[in-house]
Amino acid sequence: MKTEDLERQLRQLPPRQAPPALRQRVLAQQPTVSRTWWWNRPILAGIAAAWLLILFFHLDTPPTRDLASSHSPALTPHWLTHLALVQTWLASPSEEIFPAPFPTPKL
Amino acid sequence: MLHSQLEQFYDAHGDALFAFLLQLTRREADAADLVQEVFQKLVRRPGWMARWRNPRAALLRMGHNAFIDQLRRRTVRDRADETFLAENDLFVRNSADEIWLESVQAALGDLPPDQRAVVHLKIWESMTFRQIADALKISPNTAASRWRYAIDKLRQSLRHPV
Repeated sequence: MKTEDLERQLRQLPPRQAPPALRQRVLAQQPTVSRTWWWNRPILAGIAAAWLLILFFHLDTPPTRDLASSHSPALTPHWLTHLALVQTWLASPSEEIFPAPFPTPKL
Repeated sequence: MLHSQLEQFYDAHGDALFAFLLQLTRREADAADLVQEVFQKLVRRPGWMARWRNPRAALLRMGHNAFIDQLRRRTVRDRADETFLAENDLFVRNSADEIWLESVQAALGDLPPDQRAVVHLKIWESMTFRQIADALKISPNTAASRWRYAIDKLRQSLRHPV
């Protein structure tokens, strides 16, 4: 038997249709309302919300360090103070920000 | 997704998905479960359908993935039990003579699922090898070689029906 003949003969067999009960079963599912991506990712949304809260409360407090001595704290925007604080953290050795509990012996 | 959209989508492609999954699982209950699983996913992710260029092919790909997941979930014992279960008919009963139909069903049953999937998509979905490759996430060459192996085996089995 040639491949074409076999193909033709197989094509003549109609595949079975889905039972009507399956249609009812599938359509009985309640479609959900479409949500935005962040709604579908509660963990990500939680982290973002926590970060915003921390940022908000942190920026609202006056700076504890005199980071920009040439500027008056009242005139410095909060976000700039925050940025300066981060820059100082990155630039300074860790002992300045987080002092060691015991003085390190000098050699 | 609106209920009417889901209904239209099911009416357009539900039978094809069921036939494809029946071909793979060889059991009506499993095929029905997988169809429901696929549509459940669609209901949860309504945005998927809007992005599909070829909904039929995409739906069959989802069906194939669901079938592979089901295979992985099954234990070895489950698989062994299945060999003793009676298989369901794949085709409409009164469409051909009984002997021919039985022979084709048996011959298809002897093929591995990968080859059965290619045969089904080529014969009953009239897909090209490229479309089959897209649907099954394989290369067109692999699809073509699976088809060739399957057809050779089918020809052999149908020449000497058991």
